[in-house]
Amino acid sequence: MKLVVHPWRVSLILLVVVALMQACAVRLIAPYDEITDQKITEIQGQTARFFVELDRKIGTPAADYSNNIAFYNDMYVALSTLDVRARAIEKNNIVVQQIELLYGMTNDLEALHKLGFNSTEEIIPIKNAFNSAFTAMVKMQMGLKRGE
Amino acid sequence: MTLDVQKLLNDMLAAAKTSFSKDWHKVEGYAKPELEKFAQNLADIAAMKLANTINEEKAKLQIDVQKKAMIIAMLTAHGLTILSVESAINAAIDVVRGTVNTTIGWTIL
Repeated sequence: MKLVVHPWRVSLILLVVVALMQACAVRLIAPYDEITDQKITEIQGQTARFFVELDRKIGTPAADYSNNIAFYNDMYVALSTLDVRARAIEKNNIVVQQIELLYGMTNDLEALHKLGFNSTEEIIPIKNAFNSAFTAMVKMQMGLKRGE
Repeated sequence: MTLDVQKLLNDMLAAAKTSFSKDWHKVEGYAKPELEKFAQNLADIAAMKLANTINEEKAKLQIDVQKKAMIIAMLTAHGLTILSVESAINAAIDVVRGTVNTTIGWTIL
């Protein structure tokens, strides 16, 4: 009897083999998630824009907390969306903790803003801290992407 | 009195090195500049206090922001260490996968 090998059967076998190989790979940390990565970059952009604008507005009523509440609302919504996504991924504890801390940093920034910024000098260490935090989070995502 | 950035950095580097133990060399390149930035930001906050441009409440909040950013950075350092362990384990398994599976006759590894 002649054995007929259909191309779809070959594809199916290859798919099963690849799946088995992947199933056997040891995973100690969450897999890379493109949406998480994109969201972090979006939030970083939002924050960078806020600091640039705040720096220009210092000393004017436009820099007052009451005129910047929309930024904080947007940040909390974006961070909450990111948090829900991150928690849905297994072994993602590091990224979840980073998002919680970023949320806390935003709370601190808001509290400082409510007290009022008197000079650009006050903003520099905060801006640096947010930059460090975002760099770390992006670096983590890049590491996860390489580890795929 | 101003804060000595270099002394702050040396103390933090010593503590981080002890804490990361044998994994320190894996994260040093990333963690060291982050600790440098952290030390500099602490010194900047202290300088604002000396110049009377911030009050205690603001200084505490500023320090809190710095601490949280530092924890985020150290979490990444920790995560990158886990990734390197994961990749070493998988590389070791890859090397013997063919031999084990062929010998046993099943694709189990």
